[in-house]
Amino acid sequence: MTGTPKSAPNGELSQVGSTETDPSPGRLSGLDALVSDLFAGSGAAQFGLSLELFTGILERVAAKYLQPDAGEATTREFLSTLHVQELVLARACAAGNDAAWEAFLLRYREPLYEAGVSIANDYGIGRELADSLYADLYGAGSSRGVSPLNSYMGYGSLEGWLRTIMARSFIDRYRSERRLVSLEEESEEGLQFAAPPPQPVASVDPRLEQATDDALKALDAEDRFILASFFLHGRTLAELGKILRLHESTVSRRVQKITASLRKQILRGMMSRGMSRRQADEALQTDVRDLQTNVSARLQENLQETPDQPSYQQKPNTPKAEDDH
Amino acid sequence: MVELPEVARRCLSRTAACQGHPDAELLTAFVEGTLARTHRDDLLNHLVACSDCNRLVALIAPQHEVSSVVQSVPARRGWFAWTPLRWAGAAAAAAVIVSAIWVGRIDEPAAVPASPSIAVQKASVPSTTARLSPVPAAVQPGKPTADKRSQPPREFAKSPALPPSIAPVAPATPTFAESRPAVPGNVRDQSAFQTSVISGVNPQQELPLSSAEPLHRPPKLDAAPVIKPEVPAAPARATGPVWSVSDSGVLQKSTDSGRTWAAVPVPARAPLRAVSVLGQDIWIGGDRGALYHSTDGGQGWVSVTPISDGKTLDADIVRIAFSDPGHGWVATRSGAIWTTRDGGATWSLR
Repeated sequence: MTGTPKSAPNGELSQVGSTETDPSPGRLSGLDALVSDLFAGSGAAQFGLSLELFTGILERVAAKYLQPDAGEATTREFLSTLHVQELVLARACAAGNDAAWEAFLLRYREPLYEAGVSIANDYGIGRELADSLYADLYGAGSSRGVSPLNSYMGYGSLEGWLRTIMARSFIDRYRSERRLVSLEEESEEGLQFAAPPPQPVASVDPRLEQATDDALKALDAEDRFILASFFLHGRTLAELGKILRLHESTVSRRVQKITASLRKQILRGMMSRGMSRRQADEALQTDVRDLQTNVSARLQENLQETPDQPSYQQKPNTPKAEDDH
Repeated sequence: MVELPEVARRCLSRTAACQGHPDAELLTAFVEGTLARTHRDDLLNHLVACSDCNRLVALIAPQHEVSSVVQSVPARRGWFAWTPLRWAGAAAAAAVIVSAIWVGRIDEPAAVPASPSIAVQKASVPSTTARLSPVPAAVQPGKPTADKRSQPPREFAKSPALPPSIAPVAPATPTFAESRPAVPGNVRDQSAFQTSVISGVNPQQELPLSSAEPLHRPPKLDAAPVIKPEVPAAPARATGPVWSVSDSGVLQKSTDSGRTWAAVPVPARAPLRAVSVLGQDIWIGGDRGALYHSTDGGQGWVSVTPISDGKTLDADIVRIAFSDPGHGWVATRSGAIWTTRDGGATWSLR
């Protein structure tokens, strides 16, 4: 966020949402009627936001999330899904409009407390999170007095966005506290020990990896996400269900289906590369048996954080392939 | 649970490296199910590789009710493993379901709660209204101040954990609790959040409010209505396009008798759960009282907030039924039924 919203003396918006990126002028040309409708429905007038400024905000939002060559239909559809009321409210709050802050508190105070408690799983910490977020939103946490509300674009709901900001804040706090944990505690949790050097990996038939890569690439993005979340990142079926808005058992069936399909595709890929069915089966089984330790190392490598972003992974990933034997 | 081949884990883990993180906006839209397809695929690919964002998404995903009916998968064994028999069973089950839906639809009008006494009372005392356009705000912009950031307008809550340098302190202004009740008392004044005119509707259109008239509380029903929130909204019957709401809460339309479906953009902020179609007159409802009305076949939508006796419909809507453009009812997960006899202009709660 590089913009610096100015608070006009009368609390109205003069330069709300200063540019992060310069919108290409005329992106919304031909959509005047839609913009006018959105403006009327956004309640912008009560916060002193003119149609011109409102259009400017929409242009910035469109510039951020739409391709430069996006057609009018795409732009229209995108704009129609924006949470314009909340966008206007956020920008008005960022500009220091009293009425907007009143409306904001009235609507989001309790949901924010609830979200904080839900995220932290602790009443005190949750309320503290919400209070800290409010301070940040008000610009008190920034040396330049810039509110993060100025970066809200209306793509998701404001309440969801606030929840996301709060969750990030919680994770950052967790990380920083993990850095300060005593050696004794670390020792108890076994985190201070460096991972053992990776074991030399048994040579794998390159055809196996090629076939696997191809099979993974052929998967739908959501299927790949389900596999990685469940098998790599340790998400539970319930968590995946919550994310994808599916029932837990539906997710379970999808995991089974994707995994079975992937196996078939890998076998088929190996056979198309000249292996017999038996060889392909053996290659897959052998890999499971011999590369157990390497998988852990690979996972660790993948989940490894950059130096300034240590891991906050709480749940250890448990390789499950050993159950096959 | 089946196991993923180890080589697949390995290849998955190196599919892509984390290069920056998506902004909070995209993550929020993703968990709310409103992310555009192009953004969604990119984000999913990122979430495959990025453990941080993967965890964050799990943390922020809202708890929601799943509307799909879940049934256990029968094991493939025994005499039922015979393929023709399985198909016959499936066909029989489908026939039963279709029959049940058909019978249910025939019974629907009878389920609309309406008693003669209430009808008479409502006709004489229009106690409830719904607003279809923004109204002048009750909250007026504050007086000019030299630097509003130096004095927060309201105290969010006092937190002893916040350092004084960043904690919002408002010594000269009333606290939130002092200035306004925690629960919005006069929700009608919050027009900015109540309604929205999205397109194709005159923003100045406003139905008359009857707040000055005495409010009337309709009698309570002895028995709560039977509602099955787990059952997804079935495609509404219509002579033209067919409408339905997907399990993920997206409004869909099919113009080829249900063979293909296209998502219909709707300004709803919450997942949708119910739809009612009468020609060009469409009503859709969803979580947290999201209720929208279109009179032009889904081109433009108007947010409708039923209010009755000072109560606002804010519960999850699970069923909508309109027998004609004027008469209909909306059922919520909590068991309340809101009825209208004038196309949504006024409502009564039962």
